[in-house]
Amino acid sequence: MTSCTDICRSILLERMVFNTHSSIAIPEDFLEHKNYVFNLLKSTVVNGENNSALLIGPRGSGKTMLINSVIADLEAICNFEKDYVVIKLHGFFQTDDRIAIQEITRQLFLEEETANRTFGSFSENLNFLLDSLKVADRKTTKSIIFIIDEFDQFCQHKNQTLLYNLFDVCQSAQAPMAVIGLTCRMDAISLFEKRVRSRFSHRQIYLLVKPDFQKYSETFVSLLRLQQSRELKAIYVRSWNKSVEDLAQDPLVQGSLKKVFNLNPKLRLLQNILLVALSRLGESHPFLSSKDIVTAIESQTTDCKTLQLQGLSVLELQLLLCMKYLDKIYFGEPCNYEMAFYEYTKQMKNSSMQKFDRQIAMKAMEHLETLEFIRPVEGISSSKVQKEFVVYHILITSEQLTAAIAKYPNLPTEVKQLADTCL
Amino acid sequence: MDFEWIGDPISVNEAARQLTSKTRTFYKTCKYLGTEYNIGDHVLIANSEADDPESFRHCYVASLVYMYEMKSNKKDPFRAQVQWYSRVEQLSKNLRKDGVHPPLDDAWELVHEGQRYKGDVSIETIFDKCSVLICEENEVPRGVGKQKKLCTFFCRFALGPKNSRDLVSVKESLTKQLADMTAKTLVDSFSAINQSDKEPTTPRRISTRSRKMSENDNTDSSVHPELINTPRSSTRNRQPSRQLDNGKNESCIPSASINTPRSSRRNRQPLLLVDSEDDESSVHTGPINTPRSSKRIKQPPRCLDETLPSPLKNSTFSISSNKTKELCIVIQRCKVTPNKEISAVELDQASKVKARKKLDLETPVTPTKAVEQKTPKKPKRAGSVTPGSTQKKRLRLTPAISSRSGNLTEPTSPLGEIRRRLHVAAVPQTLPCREDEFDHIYNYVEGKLADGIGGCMYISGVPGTGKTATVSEVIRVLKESQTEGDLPDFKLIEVNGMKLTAPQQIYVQIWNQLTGSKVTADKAAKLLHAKFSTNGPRHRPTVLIVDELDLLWTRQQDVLYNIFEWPNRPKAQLTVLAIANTMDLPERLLMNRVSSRMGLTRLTFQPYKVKQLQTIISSRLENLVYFEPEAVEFIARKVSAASGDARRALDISRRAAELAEKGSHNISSPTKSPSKRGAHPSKSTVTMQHVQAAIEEMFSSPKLLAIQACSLHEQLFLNALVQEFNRTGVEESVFDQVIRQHYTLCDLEGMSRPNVSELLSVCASLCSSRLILSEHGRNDIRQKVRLNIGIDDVSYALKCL
Repeated sequence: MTSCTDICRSILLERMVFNTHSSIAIPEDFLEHKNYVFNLLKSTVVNGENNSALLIGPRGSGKTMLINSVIADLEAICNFEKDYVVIKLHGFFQTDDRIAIQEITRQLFLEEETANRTFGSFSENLNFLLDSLKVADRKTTKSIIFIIDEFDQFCQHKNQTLLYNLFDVCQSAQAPMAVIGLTCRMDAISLFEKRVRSRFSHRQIYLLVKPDFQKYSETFVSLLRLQQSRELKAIYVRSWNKSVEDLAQDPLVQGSLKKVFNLNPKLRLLQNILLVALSRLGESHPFLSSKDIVTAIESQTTDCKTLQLQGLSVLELQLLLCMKYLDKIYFGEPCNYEMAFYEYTKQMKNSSMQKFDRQIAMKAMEHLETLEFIRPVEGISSSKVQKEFVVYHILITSEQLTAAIAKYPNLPTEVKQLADTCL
Repeated sequence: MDFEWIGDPISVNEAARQLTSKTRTFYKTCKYLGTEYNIGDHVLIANSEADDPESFRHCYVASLVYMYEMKSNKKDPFRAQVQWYSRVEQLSKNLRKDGVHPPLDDAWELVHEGQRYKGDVSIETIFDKCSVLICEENEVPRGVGKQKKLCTFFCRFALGPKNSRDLVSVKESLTKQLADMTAKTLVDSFSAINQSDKEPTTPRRISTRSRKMSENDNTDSSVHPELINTPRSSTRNRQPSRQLDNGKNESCIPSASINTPRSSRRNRQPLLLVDSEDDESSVHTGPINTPRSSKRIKQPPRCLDETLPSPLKNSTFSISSNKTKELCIVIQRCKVTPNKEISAVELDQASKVKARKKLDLETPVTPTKAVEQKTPKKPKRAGSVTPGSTQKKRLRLTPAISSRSGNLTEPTSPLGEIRRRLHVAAVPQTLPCREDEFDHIYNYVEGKLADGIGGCMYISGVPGTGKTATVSEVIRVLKESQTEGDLPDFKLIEVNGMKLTAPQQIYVQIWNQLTGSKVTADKAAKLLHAKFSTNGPRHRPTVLIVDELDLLWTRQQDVLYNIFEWPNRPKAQLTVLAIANTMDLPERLLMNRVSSRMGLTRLTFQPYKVKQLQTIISSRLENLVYFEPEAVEFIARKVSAASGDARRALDISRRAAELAEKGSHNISSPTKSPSKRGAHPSKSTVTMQHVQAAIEEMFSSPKLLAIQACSLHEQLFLNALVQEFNRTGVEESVFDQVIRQHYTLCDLEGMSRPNVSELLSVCASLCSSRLILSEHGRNDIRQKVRLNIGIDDVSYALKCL
């Protein structure tokens, strides 16, 4: 017998991971765009019109979600099996035209027809695909919908052959097809080669919306709200929903949410935060508390370098402080091991702390390099220079160091004082 | 040269003499390379377009009408007038009658050509004799094939007189002519030949190649009846199964001989079985074999049908014209396990195992291996096609896309109609505003074709100025006038640099379009060199269109060199139309030796002017008044000021029409009656506003919106970048310096400072939408960042908040 809390937890976790919530639908601002894309694709499927368009929006703005919902709508009105084919390409999967064309052929001609044959050369495949598109009669063949994710990646391909050919088919009376590109680059059109650009229809749909905190906190609530269902007791659902609404009003939660919102108002981050928070639920802890949310937010937004610094030895920390000090007095000029070690011995002169000799300090320095707290300056090959004289940039800000030192357990007071003088 | 005339010059009919020039002397017999040729003999003529010109699979077959010597022609004085025959495979597809019974035989059947080609050839291209049996329509002659080095073909059909679109019985149409090749018929055919230039031709394809036939010294041209039934001398190409059929089971001959030749490696499986069986099983060769030829044979041989095992009957004869289904059949066929068929024939166990073993060998992945493995037992028809090439052909899928179930609906509203017409893909009736260029190209190509010489023309212009459209229009008109008989027949080849994966692939494409066969790039280059430097029989002028020429550039420029070298060869008769974007490509990119060959015939397409764009749009809109003329002019002005790209103009107007439609829809939507929308078409007129909106949508880059859609810290970061730029005066700044600025701004705003990890993710997110540019992330806080938008844009957008 699973308890209501468990069921609730699994429902919500699923919602966070799989984007399956109805409220994670298209934001109202995009409804117009959605209609535009929908009509575009509909005219391709129903009227056999050739179209091309670019969907442009920053990461996490809902491009893929929009296109998926358009396809779902299209499925509702059209006969998917019989009237059109959707071909999905992704710029990070199909990293060159050869792979992309094989993938198109595979998706277009269904696997059973191409299963037993080894693919021929690139040019054979290309010609085969082009011939197929050419012989296709506008009236009788299925419409083809190309959905190209990370569209800008395809612009890097040699000669932009694939894009040229797709757009060329689009603007000549061959097979009915639509090409929809999704990209987060605002300057995507300028990536086109001039011939490709001329063939592109210049339909650009920008998914841009001003962030709004009111809506953000509403989304927060709706993400957590439960619907009445058979599995859950009505009374539990009611009390859960009540607790969620209270949580949203909590000033502590509001403040943390606002912080996250100011940094990154994307849905995905919010979902990740809630995922962490929800996984804490259990029998002994049936409702989300404000502390859960705050710690979850912290876990998602802490500075990783500060955490890492706390694991260093005292010597390494001291060396870093010395290098940071040198960085400060020399206005960001890089420094080498000898300089850092000289600074270290200078500071340790009157110290009661244990002094380490060169070799040990050298080892500590190498450890810092592997952890990438410091980084050799580019352009000078380290093999030609003696180890001691390789110059490094320090990749830590003084804020990070201060924060780490403040949290470092049992740090000698002398080091703390040194930190105060250095930073 | 090993050539001599035998006998005295003969006199020809007065009419024939008048048709020819007077310097010709006619003869009855000649001897060339030890073979005597008489008027009326059937001869084999080398096919310069094939890989192996003198193989009897690819050579041309003709009968000698008369021979003459032309003193004025110094290079090639000995000439002959011939009457051509065509191979079945050289016929166009629609000519290959499906209903013919017995079906057309690819290997040895000929079709009398009528007068499609000029029959004038050099005697040097003749390399052997052969014999042709003239048969009845439904008669299958015996003794065809190659016997004692003499090829015997048979001919049942002739091309009909009407544009060669139909086949007629050769006996009916030609008995007289072929029975006695007298001077009288000579005249007939001669005058017919003169007409022949005007006849349209179907493209000839010689797609296959074969082993070379040894030079033939046998002068015996008559077919001895006793030769037919005697077991033939076993040349290497002899087909065992046929021998078997011939000897033991007479009833099988027709079906077997007709079905086998086309069989590919895959389909040969059943046949192979037959080889190892006794003659009883050979009855089944037919049915097992038939599916292969299902494409052409609509009805299976009746006698064999009865012996078919019923499951096989059902599965294999489901024939459909649908291309996809055809595909499926091909696949199905190769998947069928032959075991069933074997058991149907009731084999003894041993031979079954044996056969299966063989079959395992038979279905390898690499075709070449298979060929090697089974060469000795190959049930190959004498001189049948080299397996490699057939194999490839069969493996190739028919390029097609599965068809839809529902019908397309055409837009009904007037604006929908406008949108359809304004689509770039909609082919207009005429190409307005490119009349001069059209005339120029047309006259050039027509002149070259009429004179029978070659040349090349370089056409340049920015994208969207109608280069390719004009050239295709020229070709269309040329084809038309060729059909009407004003121009000699020519072969058109179109290649596009953008559609090639490597410049060298152009050879493959050209060769493929020329002959229909596929070869490697090197081989294709060699073949093309050979083709364009010789003037073989039946050589037709060629028009080659090379689109996107600049992509064919290589370091050595060998591809470009060849393309421009071929037209300059005297025998090539090649006209090249090279299309590219840049006007000065020859000077800028090409070596001297290439640009010199390209010649000076250039044509530049200027970007469209306002008036022209206006004409283009309004010509597409004819009769439809839903587009305001001012709106059209506005589009024309906007586009001509920017690029002069006709595609852009059409796209804008289409989008404007869409917007207008949407606008009218919004008006009518409250009433919720779509019929009402149609009732008030006046409301859905495309106006300036719509055009303005469309242009804005297409060309404005919404940077301001993009900045405003950023999160607060992203905006602050942009601001910090501006501040940093103001401080240093250098566009590029280092990330940790920007952090300082960012923190100051945070303090000013009274916000908590985000940590470095958070700021790095802010920076990455800005970089992904290219509002800023940044170095690789591994540089961490030392990475350099810079704005990708104007500083004013940032300040303005942030002020607007």
